[in-house]
Amino acid sequence: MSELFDQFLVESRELLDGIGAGLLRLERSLEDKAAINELFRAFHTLKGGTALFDWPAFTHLVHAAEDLLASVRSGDVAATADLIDRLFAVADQSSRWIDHIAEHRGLPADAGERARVLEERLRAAPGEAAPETALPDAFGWLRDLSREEREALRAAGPSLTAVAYDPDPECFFNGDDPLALCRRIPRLVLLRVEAAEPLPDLAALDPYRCRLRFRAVSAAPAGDVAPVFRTAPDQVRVAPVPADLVGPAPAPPPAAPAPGAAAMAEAILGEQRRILALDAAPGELEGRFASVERTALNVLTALGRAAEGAAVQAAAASARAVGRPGPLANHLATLLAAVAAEATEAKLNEHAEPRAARRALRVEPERVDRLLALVGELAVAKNRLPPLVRQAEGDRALARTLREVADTIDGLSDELQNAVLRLRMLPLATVLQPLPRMVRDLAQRLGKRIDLLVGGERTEADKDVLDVLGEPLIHLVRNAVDHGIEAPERRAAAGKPEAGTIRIDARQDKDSVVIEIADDGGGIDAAAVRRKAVENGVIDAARAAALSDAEALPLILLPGVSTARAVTDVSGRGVGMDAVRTAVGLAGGRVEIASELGRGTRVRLVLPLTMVITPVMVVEAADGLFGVPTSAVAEVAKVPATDIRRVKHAESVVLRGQLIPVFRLRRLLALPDGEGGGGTVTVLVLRLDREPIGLVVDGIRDRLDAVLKPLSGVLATLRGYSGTAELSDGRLLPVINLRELL
Amino acid sequence: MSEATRRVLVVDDAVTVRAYTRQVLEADGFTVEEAVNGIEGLERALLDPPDLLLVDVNMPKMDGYAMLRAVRREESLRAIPALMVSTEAKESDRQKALASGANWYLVKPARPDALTLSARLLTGRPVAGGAS
Amino acid sequence: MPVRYDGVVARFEGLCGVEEALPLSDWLLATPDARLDLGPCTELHTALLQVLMAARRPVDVPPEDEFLARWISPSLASGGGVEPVPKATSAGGDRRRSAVARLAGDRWKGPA
Repeated sequence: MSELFDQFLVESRELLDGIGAGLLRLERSLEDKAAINELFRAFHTLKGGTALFDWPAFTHLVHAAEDLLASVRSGDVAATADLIDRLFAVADQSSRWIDHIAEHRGLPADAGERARVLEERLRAAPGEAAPETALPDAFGWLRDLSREEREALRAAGPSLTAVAYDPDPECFFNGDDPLALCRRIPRLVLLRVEAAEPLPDLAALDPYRCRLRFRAVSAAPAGDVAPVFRTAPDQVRVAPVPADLVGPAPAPPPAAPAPGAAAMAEAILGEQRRILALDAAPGELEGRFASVERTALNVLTALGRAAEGAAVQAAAASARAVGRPGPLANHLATLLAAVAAEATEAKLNEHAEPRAARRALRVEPERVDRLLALVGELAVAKNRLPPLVRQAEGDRALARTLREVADTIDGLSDELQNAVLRLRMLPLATVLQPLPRMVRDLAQRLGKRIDLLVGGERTEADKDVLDVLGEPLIHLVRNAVDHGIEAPERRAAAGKPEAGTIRIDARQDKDSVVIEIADDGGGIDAAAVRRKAVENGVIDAARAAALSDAEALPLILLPGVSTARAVTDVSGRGVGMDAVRTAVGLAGGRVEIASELGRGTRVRLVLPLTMVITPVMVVEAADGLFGVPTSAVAEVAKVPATDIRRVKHAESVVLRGQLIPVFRLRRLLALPDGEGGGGTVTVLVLRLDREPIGLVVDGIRDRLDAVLKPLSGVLATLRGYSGTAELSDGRLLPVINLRELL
Repeated sequence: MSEATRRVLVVDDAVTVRAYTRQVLEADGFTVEEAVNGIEGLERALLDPPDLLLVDVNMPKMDGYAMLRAVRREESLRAIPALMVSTEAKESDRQKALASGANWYLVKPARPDALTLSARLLTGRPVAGGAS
Repeated sequence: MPVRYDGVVARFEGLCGVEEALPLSDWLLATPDARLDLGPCTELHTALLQVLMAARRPVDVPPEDEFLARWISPSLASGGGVEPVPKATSAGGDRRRSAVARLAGDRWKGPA
């Protein structure tokens, strides 16, 4: 159940994403046959999914959408912008239900009502001519049938008649007995007796006023049902039940041998054997023998092997004689083998049908992460080989063999790592997909016309990178819609086409993934950015004036700088660009921005393809081990302690003629100071931005390829660490986030 | 071979389940009788033993387990095959059903084809033309 | 011969019409531990059904009539765990009941 349920959630969300994309395509070109087909299939599949569970409201709503699309496909109904809006509404409602279901395992209480409203909207779509599916309000209850009731209806046949009978409260005085009338409904399939409104307590009840109402379904045609209510025509409504409400009648029993019969026979015989093996109360053993014997005989008869029954009876007789199940159980085992052979054959025939299409494997992210952690541990263990090789240098033959082995393991480990990393790669489509819908809705709200062109959805990146990317991307696109693209009148006045264009393009560039968001809107006024930056004290006026336009633009990425004139409800107050920069920076990426006033803006996000394996250098400080990303370390220098000079609180050292500011890791991490003075100190020369920085550590241990895991729990609130890596002895190595720390 | 109509006694307190089961089985040519709890099920079975008992687990007055245990102790009923239906799909529930006297077990709501196929096998009615 | 009251037991027999509604309602209000035997009822007037639904008392013996059993019982409380009312209709009934009681053993306490 749970696995099916999870699968349903995943599948439905994918389908709904596809539906959103399909509707947008259809909107762009109302004749897009492929889009209509895809939409129809997606709604159809979604309906199938919901039907596996007992959510009639959901199933009916999706079914209504599917029907509408079927009419569009057949050309009976024209696709219009209005119709697309209605379908969007269904998709949105479905998404909300999926979220609700994921959390509460069921639909919200108002689902029936919402489904009804949306279905009515769907049916009211212009051009939709399907009176037979239109259902008067009086029959809304047909949508809320339980699963059993629906099955009962389905089994009763394709043409059903629904009856809604609301007796006049005074009807008893006319000699009417509503229940008696209902009894006369021919071929009654379903009857519900309900209180029209909650019944009062018995003491307050006027027994001669009818407060009940009746809802019924008959398998007879409406013409046969209506006459029953001759005496009360004004109190009853009779209508055919729309076929789509109950689904098709089950296929009649096939004349050909049922493929599942042999398999089920086998299963039943197997259970008989099991029954004999179960403990029985003293008085029940005889009964057990008898029922197992009868069951086995019946199964054989059903299979057309009645002749083998005599042996079963004989075995049962011996069992009774000895008072133990042994003889009967043994005979059942023999029988089982014979039937099983047949079941296998039937199964083989079934499988012979060419229906085994290649299916994609769905793997939970946790499993991939576990695999990755193991690979990381392998990499760590592998890192212990080089020292062994060095130790073995006394024995040249051994050293050479060891080195060969180490190299092989090294290569395999790298390949394995890459293979696992590839498992984590997902197409960017997952983050790009929500954008078209968002742009459409925003543009509509703001009264703008915008064409969105998305390219490179197939570009892949690590799923962690994608997770980081989602929010900034949405923010940038919102900005483009809200602040970038101008209102149609303004565009027209500026001699531009009224519809603006936003172009999103993703591509892989070596080890990076690059996403570009470009618009042909008003562009960013570099002068305004400068002014704002100065106002907010981000930069002083003199330096601002010295910046070229291209240099000034990135200031917009700093906190508090915004140039939007109007604060709309779309992009907030322009704090977004700062958030974009931070998020992308945390993932090890950067933001580039270019703009031309009046012509448009282009923002480029450059992110690492993967952010998982980080080569780190293990350093010591105050008896603790810490990781420093190797990429930041330009050089390791040993300098006499006396070379480190102190001016006020700042320390520095001169290396190769360059003055380098120096920080001590112990102090940065608030660890106790070491014994100062004598000997040499180890300085890591870090290159974070342009200027080198020195970091004094107690010592250097190893280098390793670490699988960085984000800090969790209490640690997550600590600043200065980018995650932890596991050492081969199981210890956790905190990896320092140098940018934050320095 | 001409087959006599098989009688199935459906014992379930839920009217919709009984109705559903009746529709499905009658459509496949079975005769269906109903009882709403274990006591009534026993009464009806004693009056006129059916060919198959189709028994729910949870019912007022006497549940399905108790009813089947009673059936297996009664000489005139003990050989009647019993099919238990329950919403529980756990192996332990299945085992409990078998131990109390059921011969076969289906999870509710049972698909119509599973229901008819089970009923045919348990009552010895040819399964759509017999074995292949 | 519609509804017969016998101590705390109301037995519905055959055709039970609308004229029984008020007496039934009064009797139910006066009889907190009322026991309901609908077994022999073949026709139940809507007014009576309504009274029974409002009373929310368990029905100890559901109607044998197929229509009533199938469509009315869900609207009425069922008598969970309550002893059925003795049905003194036929000797056969008694024999059956005692057989049931014997079979059911301690799971179900038959009538004394």
